[in-house]
Amino acid sequence: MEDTIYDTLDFDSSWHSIQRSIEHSAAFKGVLPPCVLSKNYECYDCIAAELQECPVGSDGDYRSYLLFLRDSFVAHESKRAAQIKLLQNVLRRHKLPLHWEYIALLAIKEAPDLFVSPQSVKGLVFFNPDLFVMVREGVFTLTKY
Amino acid sequence: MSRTEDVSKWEHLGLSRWPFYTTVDESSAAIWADREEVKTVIDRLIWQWVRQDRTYIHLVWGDLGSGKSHTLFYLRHHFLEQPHLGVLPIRAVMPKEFKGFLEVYQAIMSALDLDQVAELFSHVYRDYGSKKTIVKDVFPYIPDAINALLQMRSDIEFKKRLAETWLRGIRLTRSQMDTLEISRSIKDTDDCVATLSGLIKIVAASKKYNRILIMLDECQRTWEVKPAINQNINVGLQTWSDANSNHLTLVLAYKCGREQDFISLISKDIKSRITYPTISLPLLNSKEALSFVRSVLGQCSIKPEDLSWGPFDENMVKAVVQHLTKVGGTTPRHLMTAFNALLTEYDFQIVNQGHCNLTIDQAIKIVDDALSEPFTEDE
Repeated sequence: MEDTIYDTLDFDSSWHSIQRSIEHSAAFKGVLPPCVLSKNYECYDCIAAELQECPVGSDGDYRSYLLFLRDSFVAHESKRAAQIKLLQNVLRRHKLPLHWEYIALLAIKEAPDLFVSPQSVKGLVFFNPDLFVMVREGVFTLTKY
Repeated sequence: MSRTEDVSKWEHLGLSRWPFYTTVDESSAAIWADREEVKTVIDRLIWQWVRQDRTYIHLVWGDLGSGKSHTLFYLRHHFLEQPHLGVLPIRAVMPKEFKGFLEVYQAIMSALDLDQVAELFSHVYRDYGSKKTIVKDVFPYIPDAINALLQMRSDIEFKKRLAETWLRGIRLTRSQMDTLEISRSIKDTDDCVATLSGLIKIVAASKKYNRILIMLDECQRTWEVKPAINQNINVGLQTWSDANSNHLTLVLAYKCGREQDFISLISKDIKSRITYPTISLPLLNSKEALSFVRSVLGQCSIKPEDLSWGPFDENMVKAVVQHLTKVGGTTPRHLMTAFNALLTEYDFQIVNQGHCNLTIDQAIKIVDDALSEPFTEDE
């Protein structure tokens, strides 16, 4: 029988592909292979379950790296949620539309550690149209009060 | 409801006129309900403005519906009713959209009675004796304003209207300007400031007035534009106040949800020039809200000395006020809207049934309905 493309892939190529997927899930979705969190090494629903020798299960350093990626994601998400909540509070208090630079001024004054710069506020209000609606160029209000 | 209605119309409610209005207008300008501390501040400021010549910039701050516009109407009414105080009050509204100080100038000039200014100018012109002197003293930067003001006294209506249009900062065609013997339009912040400064000088030199009170409402709109545009407006205001060290009071009213936010948003240029105290209109707590309702009812009662609750039962008013103030307080607008709905129901029941038998629960339901948000997309 003729080999399929999958059969011709060597172990490393397959693993690299799976590795990218695992790291992406950890860094951008906060999802880890079950063996990273459980000592029981439940492999049955893992993306790498088909591999004969799984480097996640066997490599403690790699598991630590995946945990770091996941924790960074969680920290980023928590910070983002806190930032959005603060921006919503600023607009909720004000009740009327505000230019993003004034939203940033109030938000940074209230929580200077939460925002790197006014530009980070701009990004949040511009790229969350489900929460912030632009009524005029650069002027935002809440979609729902 | 009009304030000029016949007293007998509301006699069955024990009222001489309808007390609760939901929009700010001239008819209710004379009423000041509760907020005794604010009233004291305003009375002190009025006293100061009349006693001293120097220029002041004051700020009014309050949440939505807290009475900022009413305060401005009240001040305007006060000075119109008492012309011997020598203060000419102007209430203008910050435009909704603007690109610079020119639009703010246009808003102020729209609120100004230019016929009155032209009349004052004619007296001042007579006192000065020559055009050269008045140009030098009053309009050195924009001498065309003299021609426009002279044309305002013209017998030819067309010229008069053109002059008015030019003074209001609207561009005229070359031929229209030639008709007025005017060389250029009012087009930038310097032109606007020069014209406004000249007008203040005319008003102050008129002997009829010693001060012009410019009240600019809805100033929070300056936070709805790019900070660079806001900066341009602040520069215009500060240059104007600097150019007139006497005879000008500038009152800027801002809507802002929290006083700390308001302080953060005010530019340093304005902050360094304001005269304290700021007129603050925070939310009313239950005690203040009760006092507010009682004060409004008292001022509209057939017997003003009677401190009752009008047609309402005291317990009902207290329950409604308690309901409205349970989350951090309420605003005069909410109280007005709520009690307007309640009094309308009382009026309906008393006129049609001879009596009103509303329970507290029914009253709260009426109030909630009156204050409920309009339909949203979800609904």
